[in-house]
Amino acid sequence: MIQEHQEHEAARELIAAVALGAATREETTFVEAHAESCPVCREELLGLREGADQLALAVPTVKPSRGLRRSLVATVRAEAALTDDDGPRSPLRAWLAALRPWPTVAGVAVSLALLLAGWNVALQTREAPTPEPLAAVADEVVARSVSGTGAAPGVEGRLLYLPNEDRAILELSGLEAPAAGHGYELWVMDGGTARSAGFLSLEGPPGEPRLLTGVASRVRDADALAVTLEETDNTAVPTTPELVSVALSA
Amino acid sequence: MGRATPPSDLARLADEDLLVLVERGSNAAFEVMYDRHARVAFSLAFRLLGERGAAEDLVQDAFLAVWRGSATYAPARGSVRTWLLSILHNRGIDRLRTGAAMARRQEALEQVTLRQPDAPDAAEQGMQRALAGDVRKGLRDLPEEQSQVLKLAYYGGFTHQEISQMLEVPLGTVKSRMRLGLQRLRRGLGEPEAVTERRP
Repeated sequence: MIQEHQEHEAARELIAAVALGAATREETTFVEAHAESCPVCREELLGLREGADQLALAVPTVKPSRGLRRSLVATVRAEAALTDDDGPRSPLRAWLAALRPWPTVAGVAVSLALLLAGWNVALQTREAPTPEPLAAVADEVVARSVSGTGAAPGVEGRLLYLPNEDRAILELSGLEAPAAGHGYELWVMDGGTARSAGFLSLEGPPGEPRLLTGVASRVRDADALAVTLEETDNTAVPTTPELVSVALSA
Repeated sequence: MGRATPPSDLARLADEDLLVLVERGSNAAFEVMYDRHARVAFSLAFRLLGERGAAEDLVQDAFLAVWRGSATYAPARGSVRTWLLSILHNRGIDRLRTGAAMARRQEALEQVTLRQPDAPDAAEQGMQRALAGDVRKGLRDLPEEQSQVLKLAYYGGFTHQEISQMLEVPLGTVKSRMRLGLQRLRRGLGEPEAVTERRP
């Protein structure tokens, strides 16, 4: 009883910080888990999040570019293009959903070989059993499955490339949640140099294995995409072995 | 070249109904949802990251999360817009907390007032601008210590511990100011209240 009260008080103290995004990941997980079973805290968290929502509306308005819409819509249409007329979800999205419940495995350094099965997400089907460099696929959206090799078996995912936007989306499952202060960082490898494309973010419902996703721009002439486990304040160079390495050119 | 006009029936649907269609794979419903919220989302992303390219990446990231994770939305946790903006804000904060963004965060501390965009959208009228104006007024009417803490946290990506250290204010006081400030914003109060803070 005393412990429950202490937990409740600890959660209440953090609710405002969680609503603002000013809590650590561990604190946020703690508060959200507590709110699942505490209607008082759940109600307060919802209310304070509504308050934080107002901060999002207070910023000066900046109009996004049409290119952003084109890029996003191209991705969504490419995924939706595989939908059967009477199907609730596209096979590609179903595949994404199917990736989520994959069991987690120990996060170990891995080199992934790109599996270029020639799976083309565009309307034109293509029989291309041999790998092709991204640049050779002119206007079609390309999706390729990727899988772990070597030290990280069981790590799987896909690479989605939008040639018109020169943007690549990488989605992975099978990597363990990183320790506090660490994250899985996506790198664009080009001629021996590495450019950070940010940290992969988790998608999926809490309590279930999630997909890690990252987006990299300006990859057409790059050699590969790579993922390493880094401290979250490092964006200079990879400091740990590659967990994922996806070749972008033949 | 203009964009395709969404079907008029889709445009009349509430966000929650659009999301049901998105869950069923309707990219048309998704496009309506994007057109409805893109400006707010991009404005927030730009405010957080300060660069159009980075902001576009963030917006795309957030909307794709909605497209692919539409089944995870729970109405009990807020509106669809709140959900979308929460996704975007959380991911934006993650980006702010990387080493490369430290200078930007310092900038947020030094400039804790709302900034004007480089290219103001002079053509925007209507509810969104009026709403934003009301919220900005609400922010201005907050006690300075509450407004400062909220801005550092929400726009700067600082944790409550970091804010406590930066402002040399006890952690409990920071948390209290956060709660009081958010409660005021939620209620839309413009007048000061006789609310006392907890003193250490």
